[in-house]
Amino acid sequence: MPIMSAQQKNDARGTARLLALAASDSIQHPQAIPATREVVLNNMYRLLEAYRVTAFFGLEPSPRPYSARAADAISLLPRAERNVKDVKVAMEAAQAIAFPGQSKDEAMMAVARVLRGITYPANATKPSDEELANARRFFDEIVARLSS
Amino acid sequence: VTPLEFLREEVDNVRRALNETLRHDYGPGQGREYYIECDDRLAEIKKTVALTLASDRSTIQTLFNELRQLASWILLIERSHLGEFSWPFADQLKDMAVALLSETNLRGDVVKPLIHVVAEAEGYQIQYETQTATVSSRHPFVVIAFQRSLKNHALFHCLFGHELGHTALQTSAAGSVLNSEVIAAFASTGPLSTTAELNKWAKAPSGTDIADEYRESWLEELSCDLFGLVLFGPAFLAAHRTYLSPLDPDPYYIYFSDPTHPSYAVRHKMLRRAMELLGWHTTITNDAFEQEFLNYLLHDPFRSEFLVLDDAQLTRAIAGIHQVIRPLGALAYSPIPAEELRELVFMLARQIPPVRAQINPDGGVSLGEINVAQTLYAGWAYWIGRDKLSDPAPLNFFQTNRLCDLALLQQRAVNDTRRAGVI
Repeated sequence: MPIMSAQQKNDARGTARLLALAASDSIQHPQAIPATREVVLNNMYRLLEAYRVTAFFGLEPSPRPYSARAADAISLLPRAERNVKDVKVAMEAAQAIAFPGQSKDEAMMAVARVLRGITYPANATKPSDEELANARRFFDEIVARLSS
Repeated sequence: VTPLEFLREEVDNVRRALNETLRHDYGPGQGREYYIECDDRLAEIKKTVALTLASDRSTIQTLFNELRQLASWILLIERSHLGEFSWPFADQLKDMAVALLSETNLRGDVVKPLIHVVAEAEGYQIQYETQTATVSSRHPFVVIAFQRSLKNHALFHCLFGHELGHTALQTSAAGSVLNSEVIAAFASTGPLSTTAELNKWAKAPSGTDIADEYRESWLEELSCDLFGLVLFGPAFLAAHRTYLSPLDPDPYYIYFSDPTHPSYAVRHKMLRRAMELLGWHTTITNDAFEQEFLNYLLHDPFRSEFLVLDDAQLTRAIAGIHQVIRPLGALAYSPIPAEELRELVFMLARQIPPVRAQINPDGGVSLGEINVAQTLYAGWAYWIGRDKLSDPAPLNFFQTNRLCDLALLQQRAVNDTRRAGVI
């Protein structure tokens, strides 16, 4: 059995938390967005899109404590992510709080408009204060729920 | 060494690993973009590490994960050996993957995936980079893993159609259509509509009910089977039957402990019915060899209740898949004219790779364009129908596959030549 617990590998919760943290910080300090944030915010957008359109976002192979077969154990193919379902639950809860009564499509498109507005201000409409506040609340909720 | 210090050390270690790669020659177009993406990601991670506080243990853990993922991508680049898989097929698959899996970023720029091909012990896998993305990626990686033992068995490679379906389901453009038109159609009525309906249908023994996540898994697996059929045509069903049926001695068996896939009978019956709905159940040539091939595909000894989708569901789903694969254009399967199919099958019977290229009596050359799926249709039609041909020395299965693999290579050259207007 490997020395590291399977739970410590490829944990999707950490990535989602870090992306949401960067997005919230960028909304709070849009003038301070360094060029490097462009990459992180586009990855946050990718996560929003995956959550919005993937039929079974969070569906994972059933967890196995360790690879049952030698071929699995030494395969160099990347391991499947773990705990994506927790990310989905956190995003659903954050959506319900920040965008009550709105569909997933409406809510995620609203968040994407804000991300676009702060990442590429020259190419997008400036988000309103209310839109910024809702998007920030959405990201803060994700961070809070994935930090425990 | 504190956790943050160790993290910084790991950044340098991954940099050293990256510097030590790319000392060999790889397939054209593979190395440079892949290397640049790894290099950019490492630079991005390094910037984030520089801003991380020693007390922020969660971020440190996440960045360790990100670094180890990156290290695994770096290791993979040297695992790609042209001698271990069918690279003409891989090349075609890359074209399909780029057309199907490209997405747009916040600015509306098209983001193409970086396709990497390897061979594995358990192949016919496509791994799309993570549902939750990463902090540092610019272009997602897609790893296509051929089965090493089947390197020369071109006729099986259309099984990748199923895997492309899984991958397309995770993208925003193709995924949204597949979700709304295919998955929704499958879940609209019948045994797959709810978990209760599925358990009633499956007659699950007490205490072994199929959970909803497994119903979702069945919906996805059946969608991907149908995707593979529509993309690669009848050759997909031939490969599906030949590859999977030996693994299912009881075609009705449901592994209730971990029922990730429907039983084989469910899958075969759906594909068989879809063949009929697509109009692919009748011969193109009206020749005995092709009828024999179709008899093999359409053979269905399984109980009727294992057809879990009705015609309306399948028709709607097929239309949805057609919508998704439209950007592939001529890469997707369509039947070829009878004379062309006969010509290809007879070439195999003469132990010649089935390519649409002929030297005319006047010394000129005639070139015709066909796609991979059409070549594989001819290959399977020859193999299954060979007893109906007046064939003095029939090929064995390996030889048939080898000739088809050679044909994929030669046909690619023919297609490129025609498009370039050289001849």
